[in-house]
Amino acid sequence: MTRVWIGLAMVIGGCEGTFDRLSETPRGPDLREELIDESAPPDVAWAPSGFLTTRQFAFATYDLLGVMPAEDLPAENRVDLFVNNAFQHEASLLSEDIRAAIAEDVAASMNSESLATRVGCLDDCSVATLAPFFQRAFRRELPADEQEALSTLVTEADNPVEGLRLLIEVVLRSPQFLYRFEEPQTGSTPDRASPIDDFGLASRLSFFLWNSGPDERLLDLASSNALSDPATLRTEVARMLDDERFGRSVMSFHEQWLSLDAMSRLEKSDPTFAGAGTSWRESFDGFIATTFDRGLRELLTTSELALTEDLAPLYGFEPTAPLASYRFAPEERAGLLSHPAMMAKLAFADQDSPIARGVFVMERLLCREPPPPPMDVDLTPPPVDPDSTSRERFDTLTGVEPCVGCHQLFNPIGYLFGNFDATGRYIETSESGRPIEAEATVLNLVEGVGSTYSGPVEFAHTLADSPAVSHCVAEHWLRYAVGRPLHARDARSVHEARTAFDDSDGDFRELMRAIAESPAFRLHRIEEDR
Amino acid sequence: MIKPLSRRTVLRGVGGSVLALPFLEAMRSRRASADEVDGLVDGRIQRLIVVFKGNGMHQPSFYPEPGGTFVGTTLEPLEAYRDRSLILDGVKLQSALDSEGEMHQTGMGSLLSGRRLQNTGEFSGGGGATAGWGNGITIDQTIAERVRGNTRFKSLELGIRANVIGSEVRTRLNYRGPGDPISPVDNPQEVFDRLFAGVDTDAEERERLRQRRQRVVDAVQDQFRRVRQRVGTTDQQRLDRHLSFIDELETRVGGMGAGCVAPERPRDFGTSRDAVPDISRAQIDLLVSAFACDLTRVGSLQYSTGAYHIRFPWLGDDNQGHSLGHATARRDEAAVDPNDRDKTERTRLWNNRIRWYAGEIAYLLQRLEETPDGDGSLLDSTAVLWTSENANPHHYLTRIPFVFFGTAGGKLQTGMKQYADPFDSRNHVNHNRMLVALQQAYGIESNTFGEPEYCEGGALDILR
Repeated sequence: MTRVWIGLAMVIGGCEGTFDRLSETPRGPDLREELIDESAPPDVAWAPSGFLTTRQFAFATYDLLGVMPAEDLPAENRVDLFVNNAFQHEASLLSEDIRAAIAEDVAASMNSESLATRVGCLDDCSVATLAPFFQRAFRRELPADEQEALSTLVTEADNPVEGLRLLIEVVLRSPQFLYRFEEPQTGSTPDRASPIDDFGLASRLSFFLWNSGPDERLLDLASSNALSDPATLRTEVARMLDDERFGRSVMSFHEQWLSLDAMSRLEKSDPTFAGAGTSWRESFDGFIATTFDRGLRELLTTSELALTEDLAPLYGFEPTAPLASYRFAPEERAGLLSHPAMMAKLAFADQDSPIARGVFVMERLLCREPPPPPMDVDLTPPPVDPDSTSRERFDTLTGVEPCVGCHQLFNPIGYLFGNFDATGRYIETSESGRPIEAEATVLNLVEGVGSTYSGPVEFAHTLADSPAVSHCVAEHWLRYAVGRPLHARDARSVHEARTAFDDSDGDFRELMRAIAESPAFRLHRIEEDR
Repeated sequence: MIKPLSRRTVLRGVGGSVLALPFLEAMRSRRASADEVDGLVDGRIQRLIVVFKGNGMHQPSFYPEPGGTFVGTTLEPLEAYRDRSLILDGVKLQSALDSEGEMHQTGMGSLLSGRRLQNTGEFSGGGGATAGWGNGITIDQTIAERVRGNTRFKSLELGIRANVIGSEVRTRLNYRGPGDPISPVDNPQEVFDRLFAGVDTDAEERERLRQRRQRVVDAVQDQFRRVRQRVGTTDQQRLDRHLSFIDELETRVGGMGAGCVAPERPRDFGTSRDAVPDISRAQIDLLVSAFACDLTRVGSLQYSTGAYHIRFPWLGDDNQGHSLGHATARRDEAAVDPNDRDKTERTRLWNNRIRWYAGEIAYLLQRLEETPDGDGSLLDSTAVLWTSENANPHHYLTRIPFVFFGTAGGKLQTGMKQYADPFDSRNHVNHNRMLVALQQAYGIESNTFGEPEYCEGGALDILR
């Protein structure tokens, strides 16, 4: 496995009382705009073929056959937050074992009617009548020998239903379904980055925006080589963004970007919140679903936050619906960081965690990763003491040499959120009445962030105004979209995505469009020229 | 959305029935010696279990006097098995000491492989160290290949909260080969379904199912071979790895040994921390059942991971494991300072945990001992190796705990072997030599395992 350039976490050996090197070395390749060579042709990095993630496998199966797999494949490796990294996400013995069982279950659940509808033939199956199904299943036209071999499963079966069930099982386990093999456009010289063929483009679009395979319209456009026409591409992206399947991708992105999986497993000491985990997760998902269309600024600053009906009373609201948005005090809360579920996630069982909150902001919104704690450090949080605030406790613990070298980077960010306790409730004092001081001075970590802030609301608005934050979010989306680490060759694509996102004041539809039209998305590089 | 009835849900309620299932003679391949075909060593079945817990022991409380009682040590729950145990002292992980990375990474990646880690640097660990995957097949897999015979599963890797922090070098104990780790299964229901799926169907139905699955696998393999010809080198390698999994699963479409008892399908324990004791017992029961049914002959029980952070609420200890460990007394502080109440208390909590693990191993041994096998019990043919990726919670890679219970069919000695002064790590022997001896106990004659340069001196003298 050669990983010459994979964008691994830059390791910053200790912080030694300074943050200069840290702020100058974002993780991954150097993508600064001034390094872009405008005279060079657009470029793209090489990556192995993508392998469908658990979600992609489930949605592609559902869209093709109308049956949702009843169980999940094992969790994938997360690399730089995302599970779809083509260098890292691979088959395993366990996943193959489960996939075999899923394929068997899905095929067995289909009757002659659903088989005939979904495959398109029953008693009259042949290579010719199966060809359209193969194109839907494999997202491109397969070589004749592969189609013929698959067809014999049906044509040589004792009865057509059994034959089609065998076919379904084989399709769901076959490499053409599970891997996203790509090809350059015919006629292009494979000596450098060349346009991806239209079928490949259709799959890139659909897995990016729908987390699933392309629909018939995309495949039709691909078979006539019309999809890569810039005007058509733009129309299709707009259509795909309007389709409800886009919601699958939005949820999947946020689940990974913000590590939402941990939310449903939260366990708190406060018995009022016993078993609240899944409700927190549901609330936060609802918040994303209702806020995403309003753009990054709203995502970071709105005080309208969704809650489930069991949680609403715990945060002072009369429930109005099973899942509804509530207007919190705008001087207390702003945006995704102050959502009760997020604050509960970034906390211990019995007290808030300024460290987790600060590190989270750095990694997810500033794209700066502080080094991990030293080996021998005792990670036990200070015992809760009703006479002190968590800020006082954590400052005593980590505000001293040698800890302070790194902790000065993220602790102050965490202190800004000190009014949110372990369960995400807004509190003004410690248990014994000691006032919480939220004002803190954040170091100049990225452009536009670094000043004294009064609390989470002012800070959230600062984040919303900072180009570094919108650039960071755009980069996360681009990495999610291409399913591989970013490379110096992607600098122009990154720049295009950032610019479109900034010019539209954080409109996610514009960001999606720019990504879909960027060289990283439209170009392909063969392995021999990686 | 339509949800099909899962094949797995159909299986609920199988429990307790005595199964008499014929072997599928057709699955047997023709090979030279009858012993090898059946995976026998000197005409007998031999079995191996590796039990792992992260972050080592508090050594002064762990090691008994040579030949002395376990009572008073953290091995105390295992006192009844003392006469069938073998404790090694003075063994170090030289392959880990010479690897890039921090000690949880290097210890974990080389513990059972005897190899230095890959230095691809894809995983970051404590202190900013980076490391790659382990770089070779692990001893359990080598032995599994030798003793597997016609069993359905080459090996079983069972986890108890082993997947909570994802898949990386600190969380994977077993490897098929370089950079090719095996993921343990944490959910006992999933383990049950893999082991006992299809056991409630009659022989004719099972044969029909087998033929059908064979048909699917043949067609899938055929597609892999066709596609392979038209993709790039890296994709070919990925497809080859994928195909090897399909090949391995192919042989699982068989029957099972005669006279075994399928256990009840375990209930859903959830993923809460409090469920650990229940999950541990369920996984042990499943492993013993799999041995009893001769579904496999090699298993691993992985409790948490290297650099583990788990809590022990069922022992009234809600401390995060890694931090608790660091606050314990160091290796030579046998009598902890009575004035340092915090350290004394932390060490006591740490040792409670070790005792708990010892109790789980005692339960495993008891289950093996009470399960009849031929003229004796499963314990007669089994060796259980208890180990950790670090010697103690302070990341020492010398004086690594290696304790065997059972003799693998009379192959291993019992007692205690002190290879060097425990506190003079310069003279500690390489653990590769222990791995060499272990493979020889299972009929593999080679004089090296892992990096050959660490095998100088040959097998440790633990064989009878």
